[in-house]
Amino acid sequence: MRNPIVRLLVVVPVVGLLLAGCLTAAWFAIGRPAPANAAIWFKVQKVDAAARFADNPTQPFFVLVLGNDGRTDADPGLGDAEHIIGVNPATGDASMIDVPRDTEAPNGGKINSYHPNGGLPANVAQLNKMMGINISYAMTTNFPHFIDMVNAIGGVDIDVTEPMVDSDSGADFQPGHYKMDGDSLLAYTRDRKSYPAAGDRQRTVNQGTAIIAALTTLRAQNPGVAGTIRLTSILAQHVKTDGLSLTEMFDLGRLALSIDPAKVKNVLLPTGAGSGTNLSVAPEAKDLFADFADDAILQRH
Amino acid sequence: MPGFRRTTGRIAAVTVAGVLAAISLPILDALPAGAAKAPKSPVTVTPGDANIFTVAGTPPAFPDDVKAAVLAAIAAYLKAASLTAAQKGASDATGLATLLTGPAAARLTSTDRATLLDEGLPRATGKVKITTAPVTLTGLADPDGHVVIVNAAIDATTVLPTRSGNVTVKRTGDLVFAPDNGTWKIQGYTLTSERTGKKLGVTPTTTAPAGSTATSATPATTTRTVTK
Repeated sequence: MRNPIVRLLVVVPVVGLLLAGCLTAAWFAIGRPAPANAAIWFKVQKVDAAARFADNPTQPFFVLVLGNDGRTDADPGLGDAEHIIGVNPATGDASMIDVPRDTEAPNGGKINSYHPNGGLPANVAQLNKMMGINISYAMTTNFPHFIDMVNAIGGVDIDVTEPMVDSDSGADFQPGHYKMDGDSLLAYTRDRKSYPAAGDRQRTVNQGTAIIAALTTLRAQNPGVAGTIRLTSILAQHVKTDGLSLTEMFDLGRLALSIDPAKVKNVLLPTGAGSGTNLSVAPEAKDLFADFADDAILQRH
Repeated sequence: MPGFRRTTGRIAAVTVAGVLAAISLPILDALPAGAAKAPKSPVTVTPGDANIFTVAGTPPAFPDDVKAAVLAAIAAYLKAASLTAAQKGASDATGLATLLTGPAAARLTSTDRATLLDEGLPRATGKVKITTAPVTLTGLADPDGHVVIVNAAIDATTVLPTRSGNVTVKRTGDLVFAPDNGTWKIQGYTLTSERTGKKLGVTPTTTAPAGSTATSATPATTTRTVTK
């Protein structure tokens, strides 16, 4: 039923939001179809031209979910929230590695600087090189569109475990359960000053938490294959795709919604002090990457 | 008067034949084409609601040809996977090959097979009947209005008489169809199959890998309840 008053909903966490897959974030929409000229909330790009999910539906693959700090569509924004999700369709599992924005890229400089200088492909190339993987899909959203998406799905449930007060990000939460709207969730995922010791690292973990929470919301709101079809029809009106067909979007969305969020492992990339304000990839990350690369799932971490 | 008797007999015979013809022709004419020759199908698929979602513009009506093709494919699947398996002890591999996309067919070698097919059950000793509750169809149309995906929510019941009494198979869940070389084929599924009856002859309970989803690898669970 399309009631002109009802609104679409969609979500996506901070960084991108989505979950196990590229379109994941995508699956944050609900409600009725938007008008034909609906706003574009996020971009999904097939960064590996050879990736053909339909032909290899059980093959593990990787997705980059990137939240950029752009305030307008004209501003590509720094890749301030970078999360690589590994999906193993054969087992129905997914794992996620959260990469702090200041992490030093293999080719030098901070990882977040590659998005505004080469877009998703340039960013993906650095992550592939860092982790020894081959990312198939990447998606990104900016501040205003992130807020729109979260509001469209009616908010995301988040458990705050310690006080978060940061005037810069707008975070002002005491421990407890929150149904966060777009502005609140953005503040939650941007807050680093509430963590004197962990700082950006804890923020990065929170972003991963928001992605998983968004998936939980979308699953609850869109049960079954019919729910995925409805969600796909809505999201397709708000996504700019590059190399991705409607059918492939549906397939990936169906896969994403089939993954149990409670089973998604969310692991922070271990880092140490690097040059200047950069963070270097810690030696123990080598084993983490190997665990991730073999089947897209973290078994030992 | 032998001549008179012969004439009377011929008239009576012609009259009876004429009456029979007069009675039977309208009945035959009222039956669907071919019904007089083909036995009634053991598989009855009942159509239900059909909804469609589109990514642009006003949703089109659910195309009749797509609806008919998908319902026919469901009937064919149930026949190949359940009816034939119950009657012959093995599913109709050739028939299934034309009903599933390549990746979906490949999943038949996995534990999903036990959910998708009714193999290993006691041999049917009588007529097998398969019926469905109204099948709800949900379609996804592209910006041009072409349907690219159809989901069929099914609730099918197979009843097969065996030497130990009736065995009932209840198959519920979703069958996902996509166009493939001009036909609609099953490209994914989320199914639960529950078998009840005496001496089933199959593993009481089997479950496909939890969360084994994908285009053609959606979770398939099998619950077999044995009643002794």
